[in-house]
Amino acid sequence: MLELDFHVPLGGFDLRVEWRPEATALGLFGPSGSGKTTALESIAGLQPRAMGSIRFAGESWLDSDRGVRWPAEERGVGYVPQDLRLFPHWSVGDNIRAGQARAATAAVDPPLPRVLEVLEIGHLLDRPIGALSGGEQQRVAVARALASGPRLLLLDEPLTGLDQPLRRRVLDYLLRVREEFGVPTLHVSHDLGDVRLLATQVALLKDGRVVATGRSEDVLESAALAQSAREAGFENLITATVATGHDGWIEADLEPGLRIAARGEAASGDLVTLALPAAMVLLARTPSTDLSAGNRLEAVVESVRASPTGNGMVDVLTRVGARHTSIAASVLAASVPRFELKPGARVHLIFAAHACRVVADRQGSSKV
Amino acid sequence: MESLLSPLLISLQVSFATLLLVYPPALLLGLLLSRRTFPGKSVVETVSALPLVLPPTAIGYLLLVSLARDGPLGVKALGVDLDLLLTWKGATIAAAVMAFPLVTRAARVAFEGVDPRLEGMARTLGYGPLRTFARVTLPLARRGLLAAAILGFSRALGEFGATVIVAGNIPGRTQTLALAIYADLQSGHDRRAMALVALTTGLAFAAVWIVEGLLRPTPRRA
Repeated sequence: MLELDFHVPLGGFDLRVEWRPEATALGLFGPSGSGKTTALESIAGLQPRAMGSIRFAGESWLDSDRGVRWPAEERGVGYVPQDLRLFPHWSVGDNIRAGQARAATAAVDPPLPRVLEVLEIGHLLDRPIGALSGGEQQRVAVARALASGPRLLLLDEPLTGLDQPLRRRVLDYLLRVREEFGVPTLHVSHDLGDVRLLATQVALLKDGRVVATGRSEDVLESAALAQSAREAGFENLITATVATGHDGWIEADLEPGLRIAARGEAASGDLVTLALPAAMVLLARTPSTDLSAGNRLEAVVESVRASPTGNGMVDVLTRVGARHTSIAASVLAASVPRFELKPGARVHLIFAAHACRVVADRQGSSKV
Repeated sequence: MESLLSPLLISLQVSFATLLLVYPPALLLGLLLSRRTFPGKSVVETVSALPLVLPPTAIGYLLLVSLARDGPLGVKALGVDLDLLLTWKGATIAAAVMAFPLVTRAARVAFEGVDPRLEGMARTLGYGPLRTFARVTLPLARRGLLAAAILGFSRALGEFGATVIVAGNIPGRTQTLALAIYADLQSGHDRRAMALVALTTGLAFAAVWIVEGLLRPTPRRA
């Protein structure tokens, strides 16, 4: 449905989005400053620096190689930016009806009375924008986008600032719009809960890069994992090429000759991202062979530091293989003298295949 | 009173004509300068601001030379006599050149006060560039643009130096309020000069008062 392969140079920061989701309920999830809003504006046609290609429902909205760049007014998106951008010189009603001319000709036309009813703003129509509360302004912005008969809804954290019951109602309506009218929606949020409710397929954006894509439950589980790990100050995300994959298990190469087993679905040749909690990595001085854990890697310690969580744990950063892939292990502080853990020390990393799982399929060469 | 009426009418005629002449290009240039970057932008900014700092007599002299028979805008170069020198139209041209930078600046500030993201929002709702300009940009900039118009009108009303060189000081034809005050002062008609000053002050007071009112922030947004 949506095919994204574009980048936006932003002066010291380069946003790059590659994503070809098939679902119609999409989420773009990531911490603030990761480039989510710029990505949405590129799709909406409001980012003149966007280069590459953006396709929607078979139409090419952007194809900079061929000089194609549809203006925003021809893309037919319903955009709810985070700062809402209501027209201050119009009443609430005029704002909501702003896109009605297009709705009359659009394939999808959510009935205005229904929109007003569900968002509970029917009584506000004659008010000036300046007389609304923050929550009311938010609902008016959502109504304006819905009432314009959008082919694609772009929502930039539209539920931020709504109280819980209202948030629930607005979410319900957005879900119903999606189901009744089939309006594809791309929902941007830093809130896991919002994305989980609204999206069936998500992309995880970090520092201007899509670092994970897939079904929302898979990516968000790993995102939640990564988030909690980030709070703990530690996490491993490892890139590997799949050698074999079947029945929910894969074997993948960090580099030629360095193969590990992991949980997840991927086909041979795929480039995947694997998440491995640092706490699941055991350290050994000798290559133990009498353990059930299937993955054993030789590593060199790079640094040893107390865990920021201050719970008596120590974060040991190691490098593996010729490409110096970094893998962190979280061990008890008492282990440091026993294993003589210091920079340059040689250790063996041991972890179970089920502790390591595929979080992102980067659509490697075999799939393109 | 008849003698006061003539310079007042000529002044109003020249000022309105100046506004009609200056307003469209000044708005366009103000919009361009507020919304676009282009090579040579700073040169355009500087040249368009020159009349603000040059002595009006210098501008008048340049216009006189340009509009003379063998000047670049004279009958020999254009093949048609514009018949501007020593006419109220000449006075309008002089006032227009002097008012242009002021109106351009005020218009630019007015357009810069409009959030371009609101224009982008209108585009996503299906509005083309012209409709966006008419429905969003213009209405949001309207107070500043109105203030720009009054500033331009007032500038034309007070113009002296360039006007006297291009249009002369011919009673009943090109003698505006400003020129009439000077003429009366020179010829010792002090009472008439004072009456003209009072008239001019009244007009100027009204103009400035309206502009201040327009540019004051609205309480609704506070």
